[in-house]
Amino acid sequence: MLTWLYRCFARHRYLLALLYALFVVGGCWCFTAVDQREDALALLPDNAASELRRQFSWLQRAPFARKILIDLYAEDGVSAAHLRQATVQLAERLQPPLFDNVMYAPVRQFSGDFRTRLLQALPALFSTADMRALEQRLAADNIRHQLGHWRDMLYGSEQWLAKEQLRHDPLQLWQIAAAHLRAVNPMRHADSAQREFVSADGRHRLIIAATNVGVSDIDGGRRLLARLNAASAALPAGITATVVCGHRYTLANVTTIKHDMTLVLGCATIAILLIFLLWLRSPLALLVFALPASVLGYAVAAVALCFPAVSGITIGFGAVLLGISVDYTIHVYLAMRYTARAQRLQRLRSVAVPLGYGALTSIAAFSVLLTSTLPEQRQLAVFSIVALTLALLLALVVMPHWCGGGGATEKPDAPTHAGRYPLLLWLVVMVVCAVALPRVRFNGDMHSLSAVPPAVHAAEKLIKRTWGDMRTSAMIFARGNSLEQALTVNDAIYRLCRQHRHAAGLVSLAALLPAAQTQRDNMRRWRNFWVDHAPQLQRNLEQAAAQYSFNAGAFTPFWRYLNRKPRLIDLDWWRQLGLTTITADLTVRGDAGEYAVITMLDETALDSDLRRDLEQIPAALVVAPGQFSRTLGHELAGDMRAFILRAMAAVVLLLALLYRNLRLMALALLPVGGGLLFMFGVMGWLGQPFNLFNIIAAILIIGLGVDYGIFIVASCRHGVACSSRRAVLVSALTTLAGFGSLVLADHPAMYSIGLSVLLGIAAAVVTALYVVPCCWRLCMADRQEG
Amino acid sequence: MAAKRVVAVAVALVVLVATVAPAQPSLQEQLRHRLAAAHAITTMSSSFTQEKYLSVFSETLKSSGRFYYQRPDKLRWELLEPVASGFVLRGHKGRRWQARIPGSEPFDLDSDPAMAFIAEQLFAWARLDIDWLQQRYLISIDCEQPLALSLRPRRKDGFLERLQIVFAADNSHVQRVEVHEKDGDYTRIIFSATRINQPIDAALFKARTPR
Repeated sequence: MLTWLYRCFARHRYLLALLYALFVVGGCWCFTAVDQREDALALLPDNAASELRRQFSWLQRAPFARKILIDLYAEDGVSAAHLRQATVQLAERLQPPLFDNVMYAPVRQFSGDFRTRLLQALPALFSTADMRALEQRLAADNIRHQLGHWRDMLYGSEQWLAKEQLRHDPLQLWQIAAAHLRAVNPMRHADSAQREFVSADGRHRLIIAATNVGVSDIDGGRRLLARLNAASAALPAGITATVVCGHRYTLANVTTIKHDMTLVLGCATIAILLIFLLWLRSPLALLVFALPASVLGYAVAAVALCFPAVSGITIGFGAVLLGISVDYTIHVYLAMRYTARAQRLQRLRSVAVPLGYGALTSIAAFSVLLTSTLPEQRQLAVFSIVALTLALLLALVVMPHWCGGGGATEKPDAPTHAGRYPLLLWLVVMVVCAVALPRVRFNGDMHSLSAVPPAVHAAEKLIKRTWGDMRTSAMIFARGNSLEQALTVNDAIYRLCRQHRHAAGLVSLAALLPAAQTQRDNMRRWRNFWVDHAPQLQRNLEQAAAQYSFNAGAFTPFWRYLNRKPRLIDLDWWRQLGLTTITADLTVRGDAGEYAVITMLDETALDSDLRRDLEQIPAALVVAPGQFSRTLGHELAGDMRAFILRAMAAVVLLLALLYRNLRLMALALLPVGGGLLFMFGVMGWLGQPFNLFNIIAAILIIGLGVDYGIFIVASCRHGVACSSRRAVLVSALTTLAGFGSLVLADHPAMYSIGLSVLLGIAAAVVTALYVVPCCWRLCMADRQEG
Repeated sequence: MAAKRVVAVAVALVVLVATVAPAQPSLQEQLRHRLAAAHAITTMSSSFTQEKYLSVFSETLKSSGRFYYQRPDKLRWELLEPVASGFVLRGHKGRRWQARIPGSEPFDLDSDPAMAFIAEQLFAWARLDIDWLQQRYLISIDCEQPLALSLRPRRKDGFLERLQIVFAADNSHVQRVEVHEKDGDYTRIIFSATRINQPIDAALFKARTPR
């Protein structure tokens, strides 16, 4: 078939050019026709056993995940009043459409009857702890003290307001209900005595804003941060604003990647230019790079046929992986260019076999990604299989006709004169690397793969230190088909968390909005309490009233309140009181439309005992960012081991079929082994963790390393031209130029790919070019002696 | 033709009556004229005694204190006996303090409707801005000498029934104020030792001063 095609196109070059042009146009059409989607879910396991996708979906509903937090800090010499004024002014400058629901206090606007409504809510909230607090308030001394305080107040200018408060609530029972508001305050380190977000030392204030700009919306994020910067720039001297939001992370990554790409592409271009000048030196050699690139659209189309949506990450990664297929065209180009035209068909046949096996091993290595639980990696597998197959076909069918040259004769393979020293040196290096293998650890934390500039990191730390860890709190979702059901589950979760002594940072709606049944229980407790305590209260109140000259009927509204039938409260009750935002943040709807009420808790408080107890509540779902990251890391680490082992097994199987000889197999595998060992060893010594991106790099090293092995073994075995060694060298150098230059990047993900490819491919090519021939001679000498 | 003549005569009569009848000054003008001396006030300080007649008490709450005002918007209202409480106000912002609670706390009239209401009542008779008062109150003269005014709020949703303000004999300043509430409670404030247009220590408008 190959022979027929070669002869056919040798006669009809224009037809070949036409067909290739159609191929390119078709590829471009495919590329533009396919919709790409940025979907973080593509990077999460989707197997039935994994809970991660479900947890991720709920994590997206975290109350502070999409909020913008602005900390305002006043330097020494700036008064608290000035800080407040600056806070209010800054909040007022943050207007729609970019900003929404801007708050500098837990309650956006206190309604006039705040105390009255809290007092009315008290029977429905009346817990056993409230009962104890109320008992203390009813002590004779306390009542006397309270009435003395009221009398002093009534002397003052606010008497008209105080008078009504006194008549309705002489013991200030509304404060017991107000204490419940603390349970929904996520600013754990804030000064709870303040009505606004003020830090314990009074030097910081906080603004919380919502926005419709998505975290992944780069342009929107830029506009948002520009507006924030402009608003912050207008702050008076001595007051500084620190902003924390997801958009800062996105833009930091975009900026870092942009900067990296300029640097990396610049370096890679210079390196490839040097390779071109040193080894290729012909305009036709540009096809070495152009042919593999033209398969991109078809690979994307194949992914689109197999999956409902094509991940942007797949296309990005896949385009990078296309660099491997350059190796095929390089091999064909160098082999054909230095071969007389008459012998080209024969040369093509001799190159096609190792090239085919090389491609087959690479495809086999990438095929193991089909077993991944990550959709993105499965897409990458399909992409690589299609791209490598098409690139191989183009290299064998198109490239031979556009190599130019033909006059030069093939140089004989230069014998390798290196003695055993390189082998010994290589062995020493490998042993040193093997020692560091146990030090290699896997890091599944996806956050560690994103670029976090020091300023963003410092801002996050400042918010955490000043206001608490609300952005990364663990969440317990109480789910139900109705809000009432969810509230019932939420009550059970709240009781459980309260029972645990270390339930730090607990934020729960249960303290403000218990389920109807719990409210009825509370009301019963309230009524029973007054059955026992009303006579005592009446006695003590009358005595104290007489002492301060209060009239007998002064507290009639209060007695009327105690005798009134209490009412149930609902979400609207708190909304009308101004608690719109926090109630909306803590009550969400799930993907299936179910209701869920969120309880927030410090992840450190979520110990094994509490987890075990929470598991007893079927409708409770615990989602903790740290635990999520650890589980993801654990699952990916398992995937990583499995991939590398499966890829190696597939490659070994193919080599066994090719050589049916253990020694040849071992020789062909030496570059892979050397590359992987060197990569893991150096990373171990450097303390560099292994991550998701390194898995792909490792598979790349397996695929390319075995190609180098096959070509060098073929070169040694059949004594073919030195173009094979040169092709291996040029292929490795192009890979190092393309991938290895990523080591210059600041972005952690790009850097980790660059480092692992640089180490792995450098070691693999050195092993292929120097160690394999050395071992070959030793084996052959051994055989000859045998 | 006859109708035209009738209209012309009627118009002429109206014009004649209007020009011949003596012009009655409006209440606004009268007050402006009579309170000319009070309008010239730039600063005022005074002692006061306060009597509160509240239905919740079986006795009258009597207290005394000091009052300072500086045009246009500085105010200090301070009870000294039997309890120490009060506030200072500069524009829309101020600080207040209470008996039994050390220190003072800031407030802003924009976000504190209770203090905004109190400040409005005090400025009502401290400034004596007739136009401003007429916008908010229905004003009537209760007594010509000494001049006594009744101010009834135009808005009916508050607790206030009326303010009664009695001026000194020379109308130079307010001598007595009564704040009547809708429920029958009222407060009487009697000013004494009033000093007009004398310098006031600026520190008095800043914060609580140690006694």
